[in-house]
Amino acid sequence: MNGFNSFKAFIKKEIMEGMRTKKFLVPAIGVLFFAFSDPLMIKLLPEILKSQMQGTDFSMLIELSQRAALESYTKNLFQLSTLIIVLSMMGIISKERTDKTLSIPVSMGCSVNGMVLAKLLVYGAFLLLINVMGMLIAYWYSGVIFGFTYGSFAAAVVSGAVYGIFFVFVLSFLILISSFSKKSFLAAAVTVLLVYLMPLVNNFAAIKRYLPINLLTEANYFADLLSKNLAVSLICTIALIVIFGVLSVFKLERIEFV
Amino acid sequence: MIRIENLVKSYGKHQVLKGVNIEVKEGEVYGFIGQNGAGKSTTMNILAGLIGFQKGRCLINGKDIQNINNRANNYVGYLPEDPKFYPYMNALEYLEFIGSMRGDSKKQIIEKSERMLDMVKLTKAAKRAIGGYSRGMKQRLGIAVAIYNDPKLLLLDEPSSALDPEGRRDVVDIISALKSQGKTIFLSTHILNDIERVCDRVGILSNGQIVLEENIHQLMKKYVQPVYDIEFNRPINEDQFKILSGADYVEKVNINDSTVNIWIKDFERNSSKLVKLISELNIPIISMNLRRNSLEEIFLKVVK
Repeated sequence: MNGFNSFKAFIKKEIMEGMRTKKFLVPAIGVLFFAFSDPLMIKLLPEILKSQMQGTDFSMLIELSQRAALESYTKNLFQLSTLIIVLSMMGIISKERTDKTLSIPVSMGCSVNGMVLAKLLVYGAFLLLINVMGMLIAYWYSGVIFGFTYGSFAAAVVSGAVYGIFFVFVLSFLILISSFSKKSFLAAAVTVLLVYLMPLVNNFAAIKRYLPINLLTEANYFADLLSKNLAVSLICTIALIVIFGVLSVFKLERIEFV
Repeated sequence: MIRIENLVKSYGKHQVLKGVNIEVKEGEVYGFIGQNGAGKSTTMNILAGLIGFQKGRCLINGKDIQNINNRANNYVGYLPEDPKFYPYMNALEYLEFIGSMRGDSKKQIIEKSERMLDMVKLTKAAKRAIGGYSRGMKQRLGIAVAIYNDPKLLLLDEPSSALDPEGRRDVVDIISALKSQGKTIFLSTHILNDIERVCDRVGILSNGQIVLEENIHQLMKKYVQPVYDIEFNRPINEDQFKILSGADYVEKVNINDSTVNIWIKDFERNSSKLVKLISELNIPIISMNLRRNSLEEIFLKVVK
């Protein structure tokens, strides 16, 4: 039984699990909901506030543009979608460990690296896809509401993909923590804490470009092409994803699946 | 097939296995019994390559399984005590998952899965989600998964503990069928009657060590009580009692109405002599039983 067979078997299993246990549905809603709601909320906010405080023209205070709608979307993506994604995927390894569902496959020679790679690939591809979709929807919908005045469809694809890669990094960290702790909530808490503390490193300009959080800063520029800084951040983030994956396999191969 | 030498396993300061030695020959059904917490499942998990150990050696088919990369998965089928599956899959999907992990073709998977599910009588429930299965059904699926590989060695941890009497009989029949195919089976169970029915040898684990290991027939013979309980169709008289108690190989005779209990010396040599003597009494016999200890009684004696 080689690693590739385990990888193929787990790819199929993860897709089935994602669809049947709503592991795909919840993060998809968590990302796509804001893609629709943020442009609409920006549009409706002055009207809502006007009804609360009559006589004030809020349209002068609040920027009503495609750019503002996209900024609001990316802000929510970082703050709320991260939480939704991490909480819905926190059992990716931990639950298998606590439920002991890996005992039989491991006793039959399942390759741990095939399993980890399959999980990372299935959920990573899914996160990449929904982030590109979400950004395209946010771009299109905000353009319909406010006019296409900022970025382009190509820039939305690049920006969505970069956000997607950032979430793949978050997923790889979640898998790494899950390989150390059986408690899924602990893994989720540590991961969320890491993500929320990451913007602090923006204060260290010298190392900023080497860290995954810089992906989001660059993605928010909505540029059509990859900047040098973005390329460096991408390479570093992918390297970290690989390192976390390898460390997870190393750890999981040494734990007792009973 | 299996050789365990001086196996030691501890969890923190608690030593579960304190130098276990077991040898199971190829084609043998080995009954592994012990009290709860004696370390049976720990031993099984070590053999299945799921957990490590601190000291000793474990060889399966000559392969030392201490090294994680040396697990003997290709010829071992393992049924855990409480098998866990993905609840959203059905039995066919789970077997397909196992089959594709082994690299089997779609055709092989379908053919093998159908055969396995038929063997464990799960064909009708094959397309129902495993989450809705009873514990007994999960146990049956666990057996199907364990034998899917057609392994040389089967590690069965309490295979019939969750089954009803009919299911238990089916499991014993499956084990008997696998035994006749030449499989080596390492069977742990609380149901000692099952052990008596299918095992060639038995090992009793107590306090982290094997306290008794014996061929099941020799064991039963060793612990047999040299007492015959005979029921005549009428009470025996004084003369007949004198004939019985006067024999030099008869140790003691108890009479209770028409039932007589006779203790004899050197059971193997004198059994036939006693039968001959009784026939000479010329009293019709209703029943005649050699009193034996059940495996349960032997187990309780040994672990005390």
